[in-house]
Amino acid sequence: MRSRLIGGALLLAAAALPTQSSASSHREAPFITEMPKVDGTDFYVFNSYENNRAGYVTLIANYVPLQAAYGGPNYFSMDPDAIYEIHIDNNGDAVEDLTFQFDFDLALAGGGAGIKLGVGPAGSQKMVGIPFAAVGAVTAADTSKQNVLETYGIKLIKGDRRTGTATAITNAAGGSATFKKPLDNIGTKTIANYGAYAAAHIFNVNIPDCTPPAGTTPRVFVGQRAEGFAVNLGQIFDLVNLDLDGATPQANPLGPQDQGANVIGSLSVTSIALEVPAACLNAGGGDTIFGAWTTASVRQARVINPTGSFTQPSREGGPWVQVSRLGMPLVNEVVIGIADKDKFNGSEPKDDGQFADYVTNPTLPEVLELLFGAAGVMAPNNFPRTDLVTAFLTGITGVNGTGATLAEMVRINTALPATPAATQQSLGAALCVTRTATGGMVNPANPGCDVAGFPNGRRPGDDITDLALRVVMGYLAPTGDAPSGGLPFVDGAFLAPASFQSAFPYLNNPRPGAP
Amino acid sequence: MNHPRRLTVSSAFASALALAALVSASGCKRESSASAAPATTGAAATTGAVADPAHVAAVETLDRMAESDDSAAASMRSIAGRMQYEAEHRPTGTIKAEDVFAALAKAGVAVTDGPRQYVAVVAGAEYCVGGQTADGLGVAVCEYASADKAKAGKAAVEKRFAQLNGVRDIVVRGATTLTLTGRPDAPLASSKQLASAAFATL
Repeated sequence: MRSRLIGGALLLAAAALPTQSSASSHREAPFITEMPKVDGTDFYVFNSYENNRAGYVTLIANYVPLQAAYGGPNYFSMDPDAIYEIHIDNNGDAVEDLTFQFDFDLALAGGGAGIKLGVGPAGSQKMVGIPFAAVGAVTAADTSKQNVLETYGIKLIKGDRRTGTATAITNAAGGSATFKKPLDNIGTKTIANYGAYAAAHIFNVNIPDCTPPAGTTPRVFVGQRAEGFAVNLGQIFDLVNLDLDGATPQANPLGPQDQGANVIGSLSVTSIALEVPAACLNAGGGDTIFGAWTTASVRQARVINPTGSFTQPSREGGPWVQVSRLGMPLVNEVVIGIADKDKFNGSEPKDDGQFADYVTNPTLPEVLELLFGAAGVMAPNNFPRTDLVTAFLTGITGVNGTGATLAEMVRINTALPATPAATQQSLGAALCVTRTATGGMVNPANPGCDVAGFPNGRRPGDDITDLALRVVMGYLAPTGDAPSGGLPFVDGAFLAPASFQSAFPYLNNPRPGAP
Repeated sequence: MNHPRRLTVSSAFASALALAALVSASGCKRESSASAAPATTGAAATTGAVADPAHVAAVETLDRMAESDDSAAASMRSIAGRMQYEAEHRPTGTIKAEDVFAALAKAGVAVTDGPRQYVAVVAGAEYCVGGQTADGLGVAVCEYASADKAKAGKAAVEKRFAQLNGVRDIVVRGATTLTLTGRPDAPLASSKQLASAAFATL
């Protein structure tokens, strides 16, 4: 019976909401599904809460969604023909003032020939290239058995991302501008202690014209991490499986936060993590608020090489064209209409006025009313939804607001102190808000108020699915305009802040491909 | 200040279809039935509880449709299809939603934002329509297959959406329910009374 029930459920779930989607922006637009290596999935910006890292901001851009641990033999390298960028707007004009640009390279060991094994009888052996990423145990100290080598460089660009002044970020130990990216977690025979192996790829770096707090150094890490997002929308909107009689253990849209399965808990992503002194991100002059987003771009033209090789399977040319964009979570996934999703991915925050209707007159609350209206759930009636404009496009005045320019970015006030991992609230800063007849009012004295959480930046442990459901239903709107705005909507997949590492790069080690 | 939404049933369908298309685009795989079981069932775990036979039968019917190739089954693959199915399979022999809304309008409690169709299976119903009055009262009318199912549907909604119990009244009349939801800042008791009285005359 159980399998039949779920089988029927699948039919409805497959068309209801992003029931099978996986994270805040995995495969969210039609075109990006063709280019998973440059598909941004989640973007985190938060005041570092690791001990002794006060004064730092951590930026994490995740790419390459839905990595199964067994994804060999190639696993999940970054696109060597793309650039990955993290942009900072620190003067409120929705245009990047700083860009951290990551450029990857993929090569074979042995000077490009790859590791070869002698095969055949003695005396007439042939040296044959191996088909695997490694041919033996790999450690941080011994990578001689590693066949595929992935490296990257980082530039800090001041001003326009394409015409500004670019300077290399270098390794604080030795000054190299090239950094190694660890192999993905192939399995425990290849990499016995992945945690230690990955940690050896955290590099102290020198950032041009940036003076870090005394006794500290900025850091970078790029590598595979366990998926940090949790979502279970499937059961919530799976109408057949709705628990009408109390006998079917499925998620309740108004039930506990931790009642359902996290459908992506076993997968991985590739994280670009950078820890930068807040003072080097802010504009200076006492300004402590900036906005950030991540993009990936590829060359406009790609010609497939009919006699492709490892080093040149295709030839790229033309200007860089942005194909992925991610700031606030879930925006392109459940706010932007499908006809504009690829357009959004190619757009810049300064032009976000073109998407304003999706925020001021959103469809998701209407669908939630359509789904649960029979039980009395009502979508907000305050149009235009200025509460959502505040949450997504301008920031909250007095907290992380950046002015009147409508621009979708993650905004953070670096002057608000980080909350230690052990005391973070999974609902971020939501408990700081008191609902009133005139709209949500920020009250730091509220019990449980964690002002260092989403939407003041975003941390790995912020359960933004639950937050987003509540906000779109009017949590920040005047109570009279949002009769269901106080309902504790959940997706049932719980994000526990304490389940993440409390030190850089914060996201957990990925699962091994073999135990 | 409330502004009546101009979302009609058809545009609601469009919204649903847009999100349906979104899912097609996301295209990620769903876990198998075995792995889809919740890791922790929390409050929903009711080991030993007996499923309502009507619910089980409804699910089995949907499963059969899911496994068939007919057009009805295909239509169930979206919210819009589900609602179309519900609209085409309304129960007979009970008070019609249209009559309820007409009576409410006559009593001065007209639904000005709507009415639009809601997904009925959420309330265990066959067909539901709802909307809001000018003063913000939420009104939903659901048609059930029987009076017993209407009572069971009311109980299920009150259990699953218990957070609304303080502002929501569900009146059962035959196999039809009238759900009236006030606002946290305005209980709208007088509108509820007028609506309930009008419903009682049918």
